[in-house]
Amino acid sequence: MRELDSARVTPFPAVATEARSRGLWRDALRRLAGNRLAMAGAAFVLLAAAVAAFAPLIDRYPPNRQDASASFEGPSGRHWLGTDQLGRDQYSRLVNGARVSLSVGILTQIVAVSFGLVVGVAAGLGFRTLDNLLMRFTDAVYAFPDLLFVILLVSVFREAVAGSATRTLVVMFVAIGLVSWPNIARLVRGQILSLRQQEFVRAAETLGASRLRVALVHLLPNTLGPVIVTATFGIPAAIFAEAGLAFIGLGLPPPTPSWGRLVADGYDAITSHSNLVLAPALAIATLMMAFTFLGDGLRDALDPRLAAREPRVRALPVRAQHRLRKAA
Amino acid sequence: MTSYLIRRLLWLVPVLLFVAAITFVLMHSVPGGPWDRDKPLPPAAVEQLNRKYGLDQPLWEQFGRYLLGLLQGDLGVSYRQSDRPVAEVISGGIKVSATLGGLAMLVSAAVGVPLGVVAALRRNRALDYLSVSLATLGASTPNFILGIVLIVIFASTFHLLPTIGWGSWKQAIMPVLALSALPTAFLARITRASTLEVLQQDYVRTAWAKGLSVRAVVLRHVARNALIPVLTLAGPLAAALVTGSFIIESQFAIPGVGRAFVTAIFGRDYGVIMGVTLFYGLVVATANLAVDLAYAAADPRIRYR
Amino acid sequence: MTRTTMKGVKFWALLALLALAILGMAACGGGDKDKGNGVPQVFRVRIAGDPETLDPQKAGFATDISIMRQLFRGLVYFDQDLNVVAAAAAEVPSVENGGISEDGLTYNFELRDGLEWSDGSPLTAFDWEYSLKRFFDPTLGGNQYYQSFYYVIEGAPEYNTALGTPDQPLTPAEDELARLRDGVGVDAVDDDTLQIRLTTASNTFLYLMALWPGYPVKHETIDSLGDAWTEGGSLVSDGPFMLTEWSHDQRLVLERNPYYWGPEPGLERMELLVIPDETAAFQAYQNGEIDFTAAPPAELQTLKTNPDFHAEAQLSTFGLLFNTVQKPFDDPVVRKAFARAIDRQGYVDLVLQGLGMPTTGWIPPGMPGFDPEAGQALSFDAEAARSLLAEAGYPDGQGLPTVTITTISEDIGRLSAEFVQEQLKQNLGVNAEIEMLDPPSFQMRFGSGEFQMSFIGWNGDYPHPENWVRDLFHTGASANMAGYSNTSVDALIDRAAAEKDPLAAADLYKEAQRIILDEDSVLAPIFHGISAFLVKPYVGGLVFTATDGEVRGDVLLASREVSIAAH
Repeated sequence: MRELDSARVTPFPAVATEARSRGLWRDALRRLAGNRLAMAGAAFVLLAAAVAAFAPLIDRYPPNRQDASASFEGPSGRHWLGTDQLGRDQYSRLVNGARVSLSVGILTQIVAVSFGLVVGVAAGLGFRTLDNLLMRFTDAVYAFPDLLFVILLVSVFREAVAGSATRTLVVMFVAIGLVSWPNIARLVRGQILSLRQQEFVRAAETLGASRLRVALVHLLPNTLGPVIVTATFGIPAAIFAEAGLAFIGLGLPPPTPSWGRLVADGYDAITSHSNLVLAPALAIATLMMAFTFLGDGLRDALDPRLAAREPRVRALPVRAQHRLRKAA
Repeated sequence: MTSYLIRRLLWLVPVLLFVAAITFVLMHSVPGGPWDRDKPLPPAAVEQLNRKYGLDQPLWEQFGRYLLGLLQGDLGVSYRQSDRPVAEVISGGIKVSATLGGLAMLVSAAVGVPLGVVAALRRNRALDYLSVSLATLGASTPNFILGIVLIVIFASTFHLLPTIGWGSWKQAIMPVLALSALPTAFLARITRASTLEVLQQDYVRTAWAKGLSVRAVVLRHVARNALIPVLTLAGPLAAALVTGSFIIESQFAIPGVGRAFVTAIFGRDYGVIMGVTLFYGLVVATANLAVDLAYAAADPRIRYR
Repeated sequence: MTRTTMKGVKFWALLALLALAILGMAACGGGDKDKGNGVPQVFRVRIAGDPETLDPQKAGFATDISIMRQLFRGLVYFDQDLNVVAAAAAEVPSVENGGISEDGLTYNFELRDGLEWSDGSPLTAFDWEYSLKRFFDPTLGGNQYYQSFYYVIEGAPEYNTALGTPDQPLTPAEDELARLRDGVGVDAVDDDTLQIRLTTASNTFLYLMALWPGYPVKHETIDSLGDAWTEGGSLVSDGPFMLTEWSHDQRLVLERNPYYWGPEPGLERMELLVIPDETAAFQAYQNGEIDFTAAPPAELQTLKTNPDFHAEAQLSTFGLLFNTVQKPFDDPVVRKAFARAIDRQGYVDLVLQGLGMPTTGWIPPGMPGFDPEAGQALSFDAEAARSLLAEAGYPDGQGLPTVTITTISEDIGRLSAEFVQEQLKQNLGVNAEIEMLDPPSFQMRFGSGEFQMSFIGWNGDYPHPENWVRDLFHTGASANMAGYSNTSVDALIDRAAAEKDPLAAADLYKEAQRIILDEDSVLAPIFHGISAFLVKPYVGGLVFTATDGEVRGDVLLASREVSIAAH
């Protein structure tokens, strides 16, 4: 009997490969498009990405230019979102900050997903000892206090990378990614394990396909859906982590703006100049909500059992399914 | 069942050893040491202090001695607090963080779970969107911002609640609220997802078909099964809360273990860093174990590997 | 699924609401004010972190010093004008009253009658002998920073350095250490008389005796409790207050010491609350939970009109220090160019929100040696700065190696660095990087000279320029992180130390300062500090001095005049 104890959370039911055709992805997209919240989320994410990409074109002042005569000004025609203590334009810092924040969010998840996929697939191959070892290793990494481990890791390299924004960012990506991968690994492993129950897998293996090939070619694509969803939830978490690090003083070297740093900087003036915290906090909050809705939507869309109106097609060859749909 | 339990318990040891080893190596890799303080110490003094605490010995030897001490229940001393035993330093913090985390967990469960169920029952309708939005809003703000907003409103403006300290009912309200926002949203989402799934099951459809009221269906059939995945993640979530959110602890001046950890990192207080990390590791591993055991008890297939 | 009644859902909703309601009701309870017969004379102060130690011979941090000032009294102490006055000693020794020998090498302190520890046991000169000798014990541990200040005491340097250096360690035997200890020139002649012998005459020795290493500690308590002797309820002291409670990381409670020899303090009780977050502390102040806190700089614009707001000049200077042994700052012309590129008024306006005194001098006003003309050669002039840089061989910053500002990741460190970075860019065309490090990493780098530019803030420990000039700028001085060495400056400092006439000494320090700043540009002073804090109007009688520590007014917090009115 297979060990299932890591596959217990099944918001992503394992459905037979045949059912997961290109048609399913298209169906999923259709369902996603129908989910208004998810679409709103996707729109905002794209907006944020655009802002980040074109930041130098849409800002109004150099983000680090200080103005001794304009300290702590409120929003006005000259400074749309006001200025901070050193007279820097908040709007410009906000749009430039999008770059750092988004890259933190996305790149950490890339690190996490890469690791998680490798470990998860390897564990799910079915070799008992390898599985055991990898899962215990995952447990061990999982046992680390997340943010505390990130702090430790960042502290180790801090002195070495302190002057450079890029290098500090890399350390952050790796640190945050390293605490996020266990979830993905478990997820992938669970998916693969249950998928391997399917007959076609046994069939393929009997026909001589190696476990690895089966896993990579047939099973992996099916896990991508849930993995993407998990990563989607991980992005805002990473942005939060960056804000937390900035708050305790382990953030990017000044003066590079990031939403987390803007929040941390504005925190001190929250009583008399709350506009400084409001803008970046709202930006982070909205981005987080956008990713959350998008993630929820993706999950709903990829779960065929929620599609009440779709015909339940099981164990039919792919092409037959297609024809059925086209006829309908 | 017992053999499964024993096997899992035995695995705790290498896992914790791993946690200890990695933490030990990492913390000694952080540049600077416990004696790098406000004003620079003369090198002779540093040398002497290192000798006194055995910090001049090779790392593996120090680690070995630490493990030996651990077996005897000795967690070492705190360098920053005039040699107070680490156990003493963190035990107070543990109690506080555990209470704070526990309360936050209760609140999140009491609010998040019903929210998730409601959202699932009213899927893709107004109530669903509203519930999810509400929960997510609370969780979308970094918790230190939530904290300070609560403080500004309830303390400095309306003078209703005390900001700092820990011990009374009133002191607990704001930190618990700030801490529980994220778990609430998380639980709501997970509950919603798993409830949705359960609602698709044949036996639930049968129940509807039988004409049972919503209450009966939900309580008797849906809730129990929907909660299983929730419990899975609730375990590690509770562990995360218990170990304390250091940001909230710093803000509300709560003497918890999260704050002690960050202070220890900035002070290179090795004993405290190790102690807190090991404690955390133990809590998470135990939480995972407890959940696994619950699953194993419920699903016999899992026990036989 | 469409045919549902809301009953089931309502149940859960009600449950959740109930939970929230309970929490809400708890919030609506009234405040619990502690009103006894009169107004309780309790003063609640915020401190930013748990004290590291309250052991006088081991302490070094500002917070710890503030607290010890309430718990202990040395032989002498300061009054509000920072004159040395008698404390545990019956009177301040002087040549006139025979307390100081003609040659200035022997000090005799006569103790008051009836001195007692806070546990009622008698306090004698032998306790002071123990405490001072303990201070120089090389195995003591603690912050070994202040010991060298007292090396003028006979036998002190020999005892204190008995274990050698890391490169040349020594391992003296037990009896050798004991012999060295006995050789320290501090002796209790009898229960009431303490004699201290110096190797050279000193103008500042009495100041030093007013500081915390001169506080007495009880032998028996330390022997029986070891390092735990400083815990609440165990700590035995001789000052106006005693430590009744120390809940680590939470608070300390000080209450009147019934055995104190001096006038009873106006306050009955002090509560020191540990609140790490400055913004939250400010909110707590607004909420009436604390009576005193530092004013957060970011709020200064609005706070300046607040009646609770106070600003007091401090004996402090803050500036940008250059590492004189690292390129490109080994060239004084480069240093001067950088120094002239910084708009000090702009700094005070932005970073300090107006609360500071821009300066080009190092020794602050109020100190002998203060020179209003000091550092004129470093005044802000962007044009001059650029031409100086060109003169040094780096026109428009071409060819200049990367320069980095290294600082601690605390607010003023960050803001200062960002400001200076921008100044260098705008006024000098130089792109500097900023390294923000956590305190131990910073100390490690700063202490070992691995930095190019860094900030240095100096608070006076005692009101004498020796504290300001010798310890930072003398060749090989313990705080001379810039690696600066100039024999003419050394000569001036040494002469000033031996100079008996205070005015002549002040002139010597002025001259040394002129060389350090105008000629060698070792650092670019930026401002003299003004501390900003908030005190509740019902707290009366506070007096602030220029050497107050972390808690402003701490030097005289135990005076009888401090009181709490009804509120």
